[in-house]
Amino acid sequence: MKISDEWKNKILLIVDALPDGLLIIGKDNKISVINSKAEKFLDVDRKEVLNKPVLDLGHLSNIRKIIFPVLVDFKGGRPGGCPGCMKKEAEVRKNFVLELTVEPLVLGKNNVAKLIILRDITKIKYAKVAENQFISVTVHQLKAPLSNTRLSLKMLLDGNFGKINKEQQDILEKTYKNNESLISLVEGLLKAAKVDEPGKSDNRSLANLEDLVDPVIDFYRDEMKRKKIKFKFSKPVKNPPEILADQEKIKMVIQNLFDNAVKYTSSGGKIEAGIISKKGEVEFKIKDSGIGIPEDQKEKIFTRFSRAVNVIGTKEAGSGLGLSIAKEIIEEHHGKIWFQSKENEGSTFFFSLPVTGK
Amino acid sequence: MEKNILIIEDDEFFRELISKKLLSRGFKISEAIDGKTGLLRVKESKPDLILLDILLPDVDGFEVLSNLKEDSQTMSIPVIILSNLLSKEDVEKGLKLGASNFLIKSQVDSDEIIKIIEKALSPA
Repeated sequence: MKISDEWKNKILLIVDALPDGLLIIGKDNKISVINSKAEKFLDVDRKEVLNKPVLDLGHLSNIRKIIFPVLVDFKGGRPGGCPGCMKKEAEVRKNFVLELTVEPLVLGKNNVAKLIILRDITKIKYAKVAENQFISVTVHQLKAPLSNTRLSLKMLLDGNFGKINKEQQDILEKTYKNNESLISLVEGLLKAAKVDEPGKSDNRSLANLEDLVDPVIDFYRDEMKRKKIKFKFSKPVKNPPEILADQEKIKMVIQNLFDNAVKYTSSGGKIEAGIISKKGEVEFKIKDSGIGIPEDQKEKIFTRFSRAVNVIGTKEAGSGLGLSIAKEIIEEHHGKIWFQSKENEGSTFFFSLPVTGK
Repeated sequence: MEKNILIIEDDEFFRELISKKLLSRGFKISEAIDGKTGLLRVKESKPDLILLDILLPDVDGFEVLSNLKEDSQTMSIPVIILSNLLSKEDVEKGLKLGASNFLIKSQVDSDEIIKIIEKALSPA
């Protein structure tokens, strides 16, 4: 396709006027296009960098710190969007965060360049921090009166302030349960805010999934015993390869799934958990014989504050945040989370995480 | 001999509830509404055990705890933290500084608190 000089100039003007930074690095690894915003974001002058091999520009600190790593990480052979493309965040300097999107740009046969788009996401990032701080402060303010109410109601119910009649006991019990729902909601909010906290996601190390499941099972063993729930745990004979994970967060996911299974399975029911080793991934599943999820509620089960209609009337307190937190964490780890469920028969929740190594 | 328990807690209602429970179980109590007063009371009342909140208006509970554990006169007094904080980091910090237990206010009831106090007071 031939483009006239007039159109070439127009295109360059448009590129220059874009609100995002834009860089094109050719097959020869030279910077062939850089617009004004990219110059500003990276604090470089186009005269210094245009038509120069990127690797010769290591003396420019932002090119070295921001552009080199994305070129090393970018494996994108496949044009036309992800998985060929790649996104990354970089803190260029204090209070300035860029989101980098790298995409393969097909310019001709055997000529694939890299298109780098730089977006200033500082405001979004800091709005999130402010929002989380607000949630954190509010939750702590709410917790003191809620804990006090819990303690006083329990003391009243336990007869610490004298004998109460049947009707008083009934009302106090209902108030106590309502208060438990509120506590659960605010604690869930705090957990959700922690998950969202920027910079919190990089606490990853190699782990065996089983080592993360075991402590959660121990935690729920007494409760399952109390509810006379039959519990079975199956795992592969040979340990599956390790996963690269923020162990506390994955434990939180397993705990949220266990919590639901135990809560919504009635006495004498059954829960089966298992770890399955699959090609390139390891899967966790937990199956319960609980109340299940109604068909018309399935779609929004991973949305924040969503609680299926059939659990709202139960005595169980829930924040409607557990599954949305679980989904966020699993996706942050490049994994998948899903479920199968039938109302009044039970639910099975699964998640899979990529394993490291072969 | 009745045991003396010091409650360092700025929340008046919580202090009232816990005091009532402890008194009904035959404990003697003294109270402090902030960290600094708490540290003074420890010297005065020589408690057998301390119930300590973390979020206090002046010196926070962690600082009170580390002061107590650094002082040879107070280091052997068992300290039970009773707080609304519940993150793993906070719990670990409290236990590392030498608290015998870290109890989360929204998760324990008064009978459990009594049980834990009695256990901490019983000779090992």
